[in-house]
Amino acid sequence: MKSFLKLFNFEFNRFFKLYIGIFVCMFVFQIGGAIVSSLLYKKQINELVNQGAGQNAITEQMEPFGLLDVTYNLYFLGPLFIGLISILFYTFFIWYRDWIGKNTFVYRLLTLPTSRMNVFYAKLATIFITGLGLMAFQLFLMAIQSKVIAFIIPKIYRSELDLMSVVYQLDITYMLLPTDFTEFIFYQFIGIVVTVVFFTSILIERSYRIIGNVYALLNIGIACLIMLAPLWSVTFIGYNYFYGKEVILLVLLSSSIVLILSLVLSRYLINKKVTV
Amino acid sequence: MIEVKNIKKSYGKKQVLNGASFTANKGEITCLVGINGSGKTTILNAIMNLTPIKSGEILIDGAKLTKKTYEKIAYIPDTITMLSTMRIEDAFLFMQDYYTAWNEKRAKELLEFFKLTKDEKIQHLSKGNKAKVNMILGLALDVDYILMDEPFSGIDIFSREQIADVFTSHLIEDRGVIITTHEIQDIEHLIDQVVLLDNGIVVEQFNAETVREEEGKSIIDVMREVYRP
Amino acid sequence: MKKYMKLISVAVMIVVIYTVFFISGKEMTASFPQIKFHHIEGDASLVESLAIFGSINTGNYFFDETFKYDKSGTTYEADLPWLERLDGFSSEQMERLNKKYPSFMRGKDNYDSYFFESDEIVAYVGFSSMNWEMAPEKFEVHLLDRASEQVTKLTVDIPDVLDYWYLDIRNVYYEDGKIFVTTVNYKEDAVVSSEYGNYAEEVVIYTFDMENEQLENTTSIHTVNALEDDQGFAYANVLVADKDKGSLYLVDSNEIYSEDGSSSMKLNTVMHIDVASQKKKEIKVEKEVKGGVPVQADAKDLYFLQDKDGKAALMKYNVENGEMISKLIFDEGLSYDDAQGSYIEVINGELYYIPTFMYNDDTAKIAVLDTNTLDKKYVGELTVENRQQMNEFLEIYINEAYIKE
Repeated sequence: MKSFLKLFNFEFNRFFKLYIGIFVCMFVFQIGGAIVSSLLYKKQINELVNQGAGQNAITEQMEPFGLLDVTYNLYFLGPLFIGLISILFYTFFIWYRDWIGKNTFVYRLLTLPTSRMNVFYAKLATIFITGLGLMAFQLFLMAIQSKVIAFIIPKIYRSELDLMSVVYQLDITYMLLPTDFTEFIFYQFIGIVVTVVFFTSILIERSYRIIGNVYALLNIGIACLIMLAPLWSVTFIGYNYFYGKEVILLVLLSSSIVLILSLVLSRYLINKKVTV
Repeated sequence: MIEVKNIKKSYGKKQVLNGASFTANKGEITCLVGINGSGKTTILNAIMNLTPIKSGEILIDGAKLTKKTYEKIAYIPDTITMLSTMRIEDAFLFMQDYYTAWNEKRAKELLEFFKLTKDEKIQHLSKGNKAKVNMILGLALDVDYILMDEPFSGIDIFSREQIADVFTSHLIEDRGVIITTHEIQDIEHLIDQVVLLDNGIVVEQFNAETVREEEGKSIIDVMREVYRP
Repeated sequence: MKKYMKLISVAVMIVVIYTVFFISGKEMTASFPQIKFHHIEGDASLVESLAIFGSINTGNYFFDETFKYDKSGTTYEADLPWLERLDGFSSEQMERLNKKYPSFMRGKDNYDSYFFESDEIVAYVGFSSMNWEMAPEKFEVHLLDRASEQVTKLTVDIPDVLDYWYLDIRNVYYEDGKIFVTTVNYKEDAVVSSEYGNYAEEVVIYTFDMENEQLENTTSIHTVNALEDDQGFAYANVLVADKDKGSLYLVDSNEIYSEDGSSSMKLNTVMHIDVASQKKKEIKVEKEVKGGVPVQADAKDLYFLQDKDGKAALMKYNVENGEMISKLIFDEGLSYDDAQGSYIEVINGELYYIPTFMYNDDTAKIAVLDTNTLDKKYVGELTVENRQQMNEFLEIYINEAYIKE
């Protein structure tokens, strides 16, 4: 356990600089974007006022402005996507960085006097916490954006939609930040299983090299098939057959199977088959 | 004692090891000799379980390798096994964190011996100095066995001399060392056992001193006989 | 410890932010629209137990929010815990049946019109198909005996299914071991060829003998002919007169396009259908009921939404004695256009009018009318609180209004 924590901390610290960089990028673009579009909106209002329009005329012409307007935009979605893609990329790079080039750090990791699976779990935990942290930070930024809008736009022109409602309404934020705690835990679990499947594929490739690529893709394909079985099997069983709760339970089951098999396979590969 | 028994391994179609066997004893320096690509590095990797073998057995003190064995055997590969962004003291901290066998006092001694300072960044070191730090990372562990892969390769002559000095010191005395090198002449006088590899098998294993006394041959003489009959 | 600082701070950040997020999430729908009825005149007890199931869009959201309203307030689907939200809100009947008979209800389409309930049984008719487009191929007929919990299942190929583009189940009725299904089947018209999906609509009653497990009878009741694309649209309106007796009305009506772009309704045929015997009886009704969108029926009356000089009126036609009464829904006059699409239904013997579209400036009035005289028994105002002030209009789609004690 102690070795795991040490390795986890170590892996996390390695990524930290880039991670903070992503945060800074998100902050700058998203807050900047919120400020800019709020000011633009205010400018439009002011123009109408200068033309002599009364309050009612303005509210009739202009749509209320709020958090939703700021989030359905490139400078909001852009940095968020960059952040997500970076985490996804690092899911693979966290392994390959120790192998490529003149780097032989993988020698060190594999010959530490600790279970090699601790290396695996440390990398898994790093991906997990950085992903979670990214979304938490996104939430935080959205709260700040709300405040920015409130500061710039007078209340009468503002949309009263609160942060939670916006998160709930926007497809992308709802997927990444479900407002129900149970749902949130469920998606985190699925995320972990997916990451483990990716890791297993990486270990397959690192064990079998060129042909390993084929096996690795096969691994991902089979994992998908099993995990999604409750969903595609409805074409045979009938699309209405399972109640919502039951589908979730079944997906939990199929994902757990994939998780266990992947961990077992990974353990075997990292201890017996992987090669530098 | 490290026993390598009849190990076979191939990379793709190429059969690198085809039943190689030898033993290396504690307290002795064993040198693996062979032309490039004869599988020397592969053997060392295999002993450390950094690469799998197709068949055969490797025993360290009579037992198969486990995670605890890494406190008994250290590996010094031909490139440094630390993040190049680390400073030397970070590397030492890392080792101390994970290995109970890490001897901080000895690490500092060696640092002084090699005339290096702990706040230098590894990536800024010259090749020779990197090799020295790599050495320290292995030698500062209180392990029974040390594996070294080409410790002299591409190193300037003065660094080579410094490294060779280490071999005569107490740092190596009671330990079992397996070393692969092309620069036999630097340590010929120190080597106890010689293992000659060719075509994936051990063609000859002999005691250097015995051969020198009884047959009056140097290691290189024997090599010539075996490789260029 | 110091070297763990970065990791710990990120972990703390995560815990704090998510905790605040989930706690405030509980309050989310407090800012959503809340429905209220304000009394203007008449008997307020008529709306006291009125419940609504529908969805609401105030223009400021990206999609409709499904809600249920009853005397305790407005609840949104978003309020439900996730696992329940997956199945979503459905009508009162469906929720009740799903809860009571979960295995019988498994795999069934949750449409009220696919079910029939009595004290002894629950009957269901739906479709099944094995093709990719999910076009109906077979009837699935299921009968549940409440007492024994035995289920009789029957799968029958739809006769002449290739003639039809689609079938729509409008009514299911059970009597003496037989299940009767009234469908509207859409097929290509014999005369008119359409680009816009103007189909002929054939009203058919299928009789399933559950004791002998077979399709006993197929009766074609009536076919509504399609109109040319530029002429208008034809409808087969099937209205349930008495669902416990298998008594239906069929109104064959056309929506005719005029040159100025407006449209009017023309009635072709009105008939009463007794499902169990498949007997049909034509009813003579004044053909030019202007506007005349048939909206409701009960045992002896047909109700039409009428255009009276631009104002909305309800016309009641008594099928037995041919008596017609027509009255404006509201005295001040609700425009006919605005009344279109409103929810008009006979609930518990009273006729309710509930608006579904509200402009900012207008009041949205509710009325409860006497089913015999069409006199107003209650007039009230439907208001929605927490509307976004700047929106021009608000739209409610009502799936179902019912009385909930």
